[in-house]
Amino acid sequence: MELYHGWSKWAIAATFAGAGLFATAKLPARTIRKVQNGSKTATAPAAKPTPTYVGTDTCKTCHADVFKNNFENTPHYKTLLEKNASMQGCEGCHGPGSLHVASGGQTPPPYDFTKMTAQAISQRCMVCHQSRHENMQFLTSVHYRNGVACTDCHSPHHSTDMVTLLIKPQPQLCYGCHKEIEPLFKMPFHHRVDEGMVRCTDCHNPHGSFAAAALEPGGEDKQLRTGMAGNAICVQCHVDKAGPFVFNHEPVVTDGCLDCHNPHGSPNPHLLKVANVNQLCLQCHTVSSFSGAPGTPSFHNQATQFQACTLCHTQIHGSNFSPYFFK
Amino acid sequence: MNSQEVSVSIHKQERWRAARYLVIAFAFGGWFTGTALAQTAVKNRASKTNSSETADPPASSSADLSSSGDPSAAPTGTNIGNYNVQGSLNMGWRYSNITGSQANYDTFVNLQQGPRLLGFSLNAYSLNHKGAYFDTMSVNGFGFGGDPVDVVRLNMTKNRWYDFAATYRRYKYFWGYNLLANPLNPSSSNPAIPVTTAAHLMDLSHRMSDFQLKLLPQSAVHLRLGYTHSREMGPSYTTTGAAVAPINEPGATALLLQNFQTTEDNYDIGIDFAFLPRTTLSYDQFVQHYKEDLSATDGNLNFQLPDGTPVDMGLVFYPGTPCGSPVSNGSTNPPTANPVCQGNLTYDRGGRPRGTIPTERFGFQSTYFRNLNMTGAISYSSGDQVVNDLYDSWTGVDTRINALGTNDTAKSKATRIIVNGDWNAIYDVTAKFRIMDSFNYNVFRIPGIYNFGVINYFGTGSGATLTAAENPILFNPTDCPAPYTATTCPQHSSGASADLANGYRSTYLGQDLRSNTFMLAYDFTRHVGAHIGYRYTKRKITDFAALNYTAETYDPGSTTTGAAAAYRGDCALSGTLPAGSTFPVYYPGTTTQRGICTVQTNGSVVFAGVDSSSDTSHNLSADINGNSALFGLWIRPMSKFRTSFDLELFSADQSFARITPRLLRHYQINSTYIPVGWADITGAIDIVDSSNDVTEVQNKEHNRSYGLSTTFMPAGRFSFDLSYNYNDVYTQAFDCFAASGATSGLPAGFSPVPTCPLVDPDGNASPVTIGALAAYQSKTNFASADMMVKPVKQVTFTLGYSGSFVRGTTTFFNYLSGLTANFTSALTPWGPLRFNYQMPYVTMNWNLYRGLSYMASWNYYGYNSRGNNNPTGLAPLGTQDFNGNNMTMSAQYSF
Repeated sequence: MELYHGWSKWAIAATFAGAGLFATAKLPARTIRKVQNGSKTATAPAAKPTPTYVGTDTCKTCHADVFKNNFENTPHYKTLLEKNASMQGCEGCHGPGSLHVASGGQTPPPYDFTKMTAQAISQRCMVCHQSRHENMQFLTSVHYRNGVACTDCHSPHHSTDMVTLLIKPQPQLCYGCHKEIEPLFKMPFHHRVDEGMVRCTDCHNPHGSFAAAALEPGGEDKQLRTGMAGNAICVQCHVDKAGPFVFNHEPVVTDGCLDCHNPHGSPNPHLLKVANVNQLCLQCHTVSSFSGAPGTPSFHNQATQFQACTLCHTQIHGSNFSPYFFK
Repeated sequence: MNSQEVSVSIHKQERWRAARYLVIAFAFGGWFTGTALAQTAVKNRASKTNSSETADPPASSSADLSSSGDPSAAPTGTNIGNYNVQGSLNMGWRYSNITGSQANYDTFVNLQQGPRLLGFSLNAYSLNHKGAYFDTMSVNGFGFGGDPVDVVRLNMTKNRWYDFAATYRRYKYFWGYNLLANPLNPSSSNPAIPVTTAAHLMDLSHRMSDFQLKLLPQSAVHLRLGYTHSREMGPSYTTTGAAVAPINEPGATALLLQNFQTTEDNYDIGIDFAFLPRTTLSYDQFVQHYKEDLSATDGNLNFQLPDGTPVDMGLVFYPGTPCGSPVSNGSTNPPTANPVCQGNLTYDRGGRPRGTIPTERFGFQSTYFRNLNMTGAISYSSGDQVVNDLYDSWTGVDTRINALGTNDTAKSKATRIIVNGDWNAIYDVTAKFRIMDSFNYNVFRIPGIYNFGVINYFGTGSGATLTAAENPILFNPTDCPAPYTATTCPQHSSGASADLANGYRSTYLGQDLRSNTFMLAYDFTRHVGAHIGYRYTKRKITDFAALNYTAETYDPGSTTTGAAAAYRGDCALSGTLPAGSTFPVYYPGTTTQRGICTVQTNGSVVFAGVDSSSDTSHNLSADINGNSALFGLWIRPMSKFRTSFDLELFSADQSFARITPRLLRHYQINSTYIPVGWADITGAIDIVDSSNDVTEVQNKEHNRSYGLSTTFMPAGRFSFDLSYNYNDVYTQAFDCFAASGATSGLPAGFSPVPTCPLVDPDGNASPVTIGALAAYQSKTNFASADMMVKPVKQVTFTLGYSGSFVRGTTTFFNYLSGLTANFTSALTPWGPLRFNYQMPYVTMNWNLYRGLSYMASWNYYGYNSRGNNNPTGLAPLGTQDFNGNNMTMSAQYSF
């Protein structure tokens, strides 16, 4: 129980504060419009009639071209098979359209995505999509917090990708914002992302993930996935590094792969963080008062041979045969 | 089999496999077409019998494109039965001309010459959304015929019934970069043999297949089935210096030809329940099964004994290594080795690790309570990796311990238990104000057990008389009676290993990690928002790395020391032979007993207890408390401009590894601006500064990236992209290492220092210990440009370029005493520190007629080192540079 000491008070207080807010606040009823637009001015006047659902066939009378060219062959077509009118077709996303119809199109539909905030857009999409495992964390994700809307990456009506509705294929879509990452995949040593072998979404979940903070400081921003067993995503492909091993190279398991590797690309072989592998090893294997990493023995004479520690310590990620990772 | 033969062999295998997959792909296409036509027939029959069925549009076999006559028009597909079908096929030939280092080209690029299926696609959707087997289907792929990356992706859906996705990926992983694990033999060695091919060369093929099936995706209960298969196999080389177990000291470092083969199968069955309003409960059962079949054998028998027996003298040739005069006759083919020199006659190793890891996970997502959105999951995983048949067998000469052979067998079992618990909640206090909380719990423990048995063989010779031509022998009282000084006795030096040893080693590694993130987010206007938060992380790591209980038998036998030869290793004596048949053994410098030695009637001495290789000094239990302040700001002043800023300030009171940061600052800015519809500007800055700046470590690191790109597309016939990035990576730490001979003339920052006395935990005599604030810095300038021109409607040209220019420095530890004291130009190639890597290209796409296009492209890959990769004093390693020209011509047919 000592593990809870100190921080537990803070966490419990925060939880109760949140619960208290939830339980006691008698918040005024908010209209859908208020949430979606994030401003008081958008609140529907009380006198305004409540819109009702008119059905997609009604929408088609004016938007037949949109239905034919930009809806019918998209995955969203299946919403027409829903029983609940609020989840069907055009109105499944744009909301009940009776007022829009009655005004001859002058009144925008309740959910006019061109005028909504990024958060409101995402909240609207999440009404249906959040129950998917892939999207469950989106509302707590870094993308959501930073005003990246679903429609910044997906185009429900104009995508040529009829599976994910992305506006561009990976990785170009991701490079669109993450320009600092693109050159790393042009390095001599890199994961084969540009070549199409690996996708950004194989390691990252752009819709957010739980993993995050557990892996490393700053890890939450990366929205990393986890392996099937809850371990690092890297071993999902690098299965021979997954273990469990009798002889673990401890930081590989406790601190993660990024202690030694730059994952996207690197000028250094095996995506190492430094050019000379001995430097990488000695950074930890110098005896220190707080560290358990053993120092290098005397016969590791750097003045003679052993240019690379891994010439002998070949199984450096872990071994079932040698405590020194020889085999 | 050399590396080229290995490569050719696997390339042949790959071609056959590629052909098989092509056949499967086309068979699938044929099946689909047949199915669609059959369905057409059925529907036609149905329409004849039921004239009221008018929902289905009439089947048409004519593509819309066929009537347009415009070769540049995009194909709109062909209606076949109830489906609209679109497809494309791109086939061609790549001509490849590589000069310079083929191994590096293959490592970095690996595009080779030959016919290729460069791409294909087949898309179909049901015209009335009531397809017989599916409503939508898409399959596409590329790279078949020999390219290093082959991918096929398939998606099929039938509304209400299922979603199915499958992916097949094959990656030819060639690794031939030889500057990483290279002993860097000096030219002064005798013989001076450079290692010019990668000691850890790999020519592997990695196949990954993923299948995901979701049944009844729109119902209240969904069923999910998943299967993934990963198989990586092929020849590779590895090295071992561990010729003698269990001491495992580096000997004649052997190059081993390794048959690499790992397979993992993952199964997933999951079910989602959506009975409660706005709530989904899910349960998943995962099973991972891993198997590895590794075998390695000495692949470097490049010398011979005087009797013609092939022998491996190792990769390391240095004055005095593997012995003073390794070659007795260099005129023979292969050269004749000095038989008293250290060398390997045989080396074989193998084992078949097997692992099964089941994992259960329960999760939920709910917006049941108004304004409160929650997700959570808890999972439990417990699995083993077991190896029942590890073996390691070596014969040769190890002059350090007078050994001629060893047999090592072992069993091991490691268990890993992981418990994960996660909970996220976001509460909308108002439309603008949100409270978020995230709790993460991750606990694992990995206990392991390793049982081993070792037999060491010795010879009747000793020192200069021990030769590889001898038969390895074991102690036998008949041949070696008391006083054990006969020349027929196995000769044991004072440093010889135990003749027999068995025992077990237990290990344990565990971590308890809990983290909570609390965050407040506020949208000031619809154009500006911010969040601020705090994260607390607590880690408790428990590490018991080594406890080795053994029973060791030290046999007597030595022409000079006789019975006393048995008193060695864990039963070594500092004085006279003890009285009685037993004597205790203590931990060094203590009165704590770690074992007992018993003298046998045949002269052998048996040790039982914790052997000297047990190093419990590194067992530890670490508690680490981390605190992070989080801040973020996003601005969208208009629909055309978006920017976000994120900041994390982290501090911890402890670190586990020396380079684990106690302080970290992470800044991230991403901006996108679209001033006009035909232009955009994107910028990104990512800065991570971290340190563990305690006195004995002095670790500081940073990774700073700055990127800017612009895209202009003023007209459909012209576009232009320009991009520039700068990346600055730096790391430093105070390192201690052993280096002989250097006591003067050291560069600034290097000196024999009293702060490094602990460099030698095993008590071996140390050469001079050096301490240095070792640093690495790498700065990369990256630029890219692409220009697309459509001079006429049917022809598109694209010209592009990307170049990485890397300039770096590092501390070199490897220098030769007496030759140089200048660490910055030591006998280490500069390798990845300084190079230019440039990739210009030109492509042409000519739409010839109705979906038929001709494509041609030229891609150049140029790697040019800008550092010294052959320092004077090293046996020449060869060039690292290459120039690769690839010309690809293909035709694409789309319909």
